[in-house]
Amino acid sequence: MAGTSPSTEPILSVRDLRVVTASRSNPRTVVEAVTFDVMPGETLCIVGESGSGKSVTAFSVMGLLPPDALRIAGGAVTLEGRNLAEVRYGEILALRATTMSMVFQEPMTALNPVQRIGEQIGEVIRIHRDTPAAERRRMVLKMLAEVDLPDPERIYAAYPHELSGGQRQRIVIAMALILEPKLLIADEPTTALDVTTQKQILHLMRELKTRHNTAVIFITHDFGVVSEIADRILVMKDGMVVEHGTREQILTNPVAAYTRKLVASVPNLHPPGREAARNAAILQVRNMSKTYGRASLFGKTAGVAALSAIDLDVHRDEVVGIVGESGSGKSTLARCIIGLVDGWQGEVRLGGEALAPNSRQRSNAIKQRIQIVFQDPYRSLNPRRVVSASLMEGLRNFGMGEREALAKVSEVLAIVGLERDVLRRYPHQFSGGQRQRLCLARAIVMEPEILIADEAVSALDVTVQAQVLDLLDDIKRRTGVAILFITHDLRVAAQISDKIVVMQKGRIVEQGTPHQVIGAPQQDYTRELIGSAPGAGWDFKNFRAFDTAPG
Amino acid sequence: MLPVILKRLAATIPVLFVVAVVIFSVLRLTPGDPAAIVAGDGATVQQIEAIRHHMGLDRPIPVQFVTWISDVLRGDFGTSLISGLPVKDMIVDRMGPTIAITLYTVIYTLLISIPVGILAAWRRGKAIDRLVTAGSVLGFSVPVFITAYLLIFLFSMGLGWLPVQGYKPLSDGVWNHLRHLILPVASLSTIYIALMTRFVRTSIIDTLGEDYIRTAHAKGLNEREVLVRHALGNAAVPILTIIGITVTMLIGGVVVTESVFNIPGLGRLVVEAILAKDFTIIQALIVLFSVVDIFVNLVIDVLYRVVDPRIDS
Repeated sequence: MAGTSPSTEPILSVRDLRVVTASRSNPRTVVEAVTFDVMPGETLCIVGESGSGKSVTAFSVMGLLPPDALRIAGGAVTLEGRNLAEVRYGEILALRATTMSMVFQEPMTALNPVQRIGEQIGEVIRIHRDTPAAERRRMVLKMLAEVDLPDPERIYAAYPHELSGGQRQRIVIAMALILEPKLLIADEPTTALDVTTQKQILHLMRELKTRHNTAVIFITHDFGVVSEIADRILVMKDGMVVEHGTREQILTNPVAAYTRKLVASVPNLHPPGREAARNAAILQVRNMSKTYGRASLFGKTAGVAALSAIDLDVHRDEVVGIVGESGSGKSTLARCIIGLVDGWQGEVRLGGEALAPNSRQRSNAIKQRIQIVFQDPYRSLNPRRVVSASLMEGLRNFGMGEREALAKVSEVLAIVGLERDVLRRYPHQFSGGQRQRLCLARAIVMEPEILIADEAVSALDVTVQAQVLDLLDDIKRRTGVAILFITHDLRVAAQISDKIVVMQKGRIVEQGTPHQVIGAPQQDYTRELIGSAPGAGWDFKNFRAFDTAPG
Repeated sequence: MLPVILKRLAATIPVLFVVAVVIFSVLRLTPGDPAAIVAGDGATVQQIEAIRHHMGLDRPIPVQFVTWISDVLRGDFGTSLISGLPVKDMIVDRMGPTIAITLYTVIYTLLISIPVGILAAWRRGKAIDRLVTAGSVLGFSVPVFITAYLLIFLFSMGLGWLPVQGYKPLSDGVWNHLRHLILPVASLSTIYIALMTRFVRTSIIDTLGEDYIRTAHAKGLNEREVLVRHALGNAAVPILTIIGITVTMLIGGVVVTESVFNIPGLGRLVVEAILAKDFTIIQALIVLFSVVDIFVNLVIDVLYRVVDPRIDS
């Protein structure tokens, strides 16, 4: 196989793996004919969109499939030459953490909340080795230092809730690697983390892998991450392997049509050329501040400043991308503008008219002019109402007749690329991308002047994300609506924005055109964000590496 | 931990005050005149009036309340309107059986329901789990008095192993004490065992679906270790909540049980006092039950902090 180190035996070899749902009467195939090898010290990335079977494949190797939901129905998983199907359960347990380990996606919930960190890591040693307690403690402290956690003694005695997400993921990694397994399976280990944290964790994993010559299966949906860490890439779709090759092969010369589409959909940091529209400012935010205080029995305690002194202009026909990590205040800003959060100071003007802080105090005419789309299309539509009811509700609420509202909704459906017959259906009958189109339709049917998209593409697969971004662009051109596009992903912002606003800890750190912000960042924080964006060196759309810096 | 306890104790003062006001007013608003009951059927209006005056019932209600509450604060619960005995003594006399029944019921309930609940959760979907579920449904479908009479019929009247009714204090010998309480505790526990078992099972099954359980499996722990070392500690918080509720609900159950088994405890005292309209006893008992209730909740609150470090002290 090309690109692998010669002469050695694979650590893991998977042949014709088939996984089906546990239903006895009518099992459905979830993963089929998956075959791959992992060599010592190499990183294999399994890439795919949701439902591709990439995580199921990983869990099958570990023997961690939920027994009441999924089971292995065929094929062979061979770890260091032993077919795991022929190994007793007790021996599988003995292999876990010693020969093969796993790191999970969600660090916030992966640790036992009522046990101290030291105990949880030490447990791995305790169950697999006859190591005396004092020696165990020494090993754990050494491992904590190795995953670059400050003050290992303190962390050892801490509970998970006292640590940040990035720190918790370091703990999970420490736990997985403390017995130096030959194979590490990492299931989207950085997806739930901020980009700057993601960069650190990726760096750490690469370092530890090299130091201990660990083979890594890295499961991800993000080609940016793949381009940084993969030796080889396995692309999956609908439970099957679509393509398999070295990183260079897949990124520069993908053969399968699906892989080409998947790679080409990955946004990169290089902003496309755009005509900067200079229309009148439609939305003006002046000196907006918001403090979340905890009201207690004994009066207000010291609050947290979610926003401080925000000044922002949004012009007609403009997409303003607001970029920041979790806790930067970007969503609070959106909620204050639309009046879902009140108790803020400062001023919001829409077309020159000052707005009341709370949407309940605003007139229907004002409410109609600002619309919002949220992150999670699965929870943004009432599951018990047909689509037409959800889509027409705003119009009907503001006094429009049923027939007229229906006509208008039908018109908008054409814009978002859906057929008229979707109106009679329920939300669960749609995919995530279609639902987000419905959410967009619901917003733009109100003919707003401002559309706030709060992480509106973050929950979508990359190919769908690309389509929805195109749709937003199209909506902007057709309707002239100004879009406030809130995202944690600088790459997406670079692709869609006319202006990028970088936020950190409730403040605007920097703003300007994408070329200014990404090409010539003025602030350290912006530089850090740019440096952390995974896959910054790849021009995915054109299947090549960039030879120039972005911007 | 100590500041938390003190803060909680301080917060109970307004609660107790409200309880006192409500009890006092409600009793005064219900029909029936204790003076008339004391005086008996043949009493004249003047005699009743005299008794009323003697008992202080002719004074304005707010005045009666202030007098009562200040006495209570000094530890004086007054004298029974009917028997004339000090209420405190009457309560102390009747406390033993109730404390014994409550305590044994709680211990017995926990001893049975926690292991059985864990077993059902561990073997969920299997025959043993379905058996436990069926038993639980039966357990909380049957009222205490029916269970009690069935048990009496079977073990006392049929087999003759246990006394039909009555109570013997611990000083009359441990076995003699216990054998009088086996049936009351068994019948009172049934419903709580059913409830707790179901609850323990559900809490553990919920916990077993958490991400950190998967992490524990990935470490190579076997099923038993995962259950004992990771699931139980986390399931403890909701289980503690239900234990707290159970203990406070028990007080209601004790009333019925004591009546059925003719045990001279506080439950019987409540019933007797209510029938006799003996205000001072009812008031004192309800305040006492409220204090117990608040104390149980305080203990549970402190235990939360012991089992879950996320609840900050």
